[in-house]
Amino acid sequence: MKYVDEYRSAGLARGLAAEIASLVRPGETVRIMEVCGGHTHAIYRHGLEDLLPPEVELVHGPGCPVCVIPMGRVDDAIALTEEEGVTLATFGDMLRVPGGRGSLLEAKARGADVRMVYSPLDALALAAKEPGRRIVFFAIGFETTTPATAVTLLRARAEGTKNFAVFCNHVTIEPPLRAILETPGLRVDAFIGPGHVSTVIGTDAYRFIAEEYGRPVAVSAFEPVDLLQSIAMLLRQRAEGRCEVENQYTRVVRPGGNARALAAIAETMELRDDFEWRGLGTLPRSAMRLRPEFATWDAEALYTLPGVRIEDPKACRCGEVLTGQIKPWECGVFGTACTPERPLGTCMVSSEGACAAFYAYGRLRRPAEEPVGA
Amino acid sequence: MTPDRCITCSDEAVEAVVVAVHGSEAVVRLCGGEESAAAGLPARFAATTGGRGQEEHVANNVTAAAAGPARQEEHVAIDLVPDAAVGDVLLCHAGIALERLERSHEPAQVAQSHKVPTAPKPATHAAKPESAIPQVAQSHKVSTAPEPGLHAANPRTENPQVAQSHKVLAASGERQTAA
Repeated sequence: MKYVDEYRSAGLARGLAAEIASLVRPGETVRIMEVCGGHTHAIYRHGLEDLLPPEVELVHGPGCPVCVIPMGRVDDAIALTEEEGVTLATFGDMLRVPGGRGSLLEAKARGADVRMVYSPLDALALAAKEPGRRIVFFAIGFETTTPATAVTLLRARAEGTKNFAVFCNHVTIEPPLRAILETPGLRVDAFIGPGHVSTVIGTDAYRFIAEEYGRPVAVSAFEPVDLLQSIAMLLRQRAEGRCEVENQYTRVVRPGGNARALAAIAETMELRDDFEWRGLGTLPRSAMRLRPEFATWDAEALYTLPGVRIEDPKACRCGEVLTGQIKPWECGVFGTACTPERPLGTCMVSSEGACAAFYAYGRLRRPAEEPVGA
Repeated sequence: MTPDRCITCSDEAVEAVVVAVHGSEAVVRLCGGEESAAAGLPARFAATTGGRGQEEHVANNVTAAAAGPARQEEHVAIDLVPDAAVGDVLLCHAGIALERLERSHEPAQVAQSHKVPTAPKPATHAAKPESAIPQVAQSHKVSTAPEPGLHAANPRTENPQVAQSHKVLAASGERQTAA
């Protein structure tokens, strides 16, 4: 498969693994955080940790769009389904994220009109087909997904579609990275930067990590050779005493990102004063809302939402997993009370979530003396 | 949606070749889509791009995974890559094209830009008997063969990064692929 097979070359991977091993000193520990949940999934899926020397430890970061949505926002979405004439549309995994009042899938089972879509444009098309209902799109995601919502809003305005609205929960990648970098006792030496987010925002957006916090960054694609090469790039920076933002994903990521995408976002949305993140608390200027000019399509302007903050279940340690403080298997409910079939925490919902990825690909490889969920 | 996940939720994007352009939409085909369909894989691509053909599934609330094998072609909005042309490879996510891939990119260039050492230091851990260099060289030879339809000249994709990679390839004696 073009653009896939060549980046899964076993020969290249073995060569890179050997180089990585040559770039660390015996006994030291180099902790590298992969920010993006897609990278976490790829690492587990392809067993990349098995190719790394014990001196290199991969730490899973907060870049899973589903995982960072707080329970209160799910409850707000459920409240929207109870409004007269409203159909709620959202992406597949969001249907399973548990809120304080259950999930959207459970709301649907109770009779709510909840639809799964693959694109906000599908939700807009649904509005055209069902003029008697208002289609509210529950928008989530980092900068990868935000442009799709922005383009949809621009089309809704151009087409004059009035029975379409957006419940905006788009988040931005910089604030959680800053929050992690400012965590006391942070033990992360370098970052693998997100690939698809960087397609939109560019590599320049990460310069603060190198310049203000002294950690190197390598923006990476998602195949095994890509990830191994990024790890080697980070270790080589370290060995050569450099601290820079490097771009491994040059086949699609540019330094300044996609100017059209950024312009579409800027035209339709603006930063909120603050936003609650699961596991990270409330972060200032970390999420988007619709601009006042788009109030006609803003579900938060059209409806009164509960807006209640819901505490995460006490047994759930998603917050610590999201900030790289613990591994998934160190959570007491992992694989027992919390499974992909019945997730307790958001990290177990999306395949990108560190817990779901480890449950799917890693748990059976752990030594017997370290029981899962112990 | 694949059997185990929603790849839009997962922030994933997929590469697809443009086979036609109609206004602000492009008809695209997943790179390797034939192989996926032949293997009976579910509608990973269709689920990702969310094109026109998804409407019946949305209306009927049917998941793509349950709907059957992947179609070969889908529609994506090209508002963000308005000059997309037939033969371009686009990175698609949530029903829109986010960016165009540089055509000259091959794993050979990955390895080249990576500067794999000519004489690897003795590996302290996980050392493998194979040296990286012969494998990289082999990969260069295999992968730089242009594929019909994907490597047609397209001056719009020329940019400093591509030019730089061309220089690197030229300097290393590798055959230069068309941009």
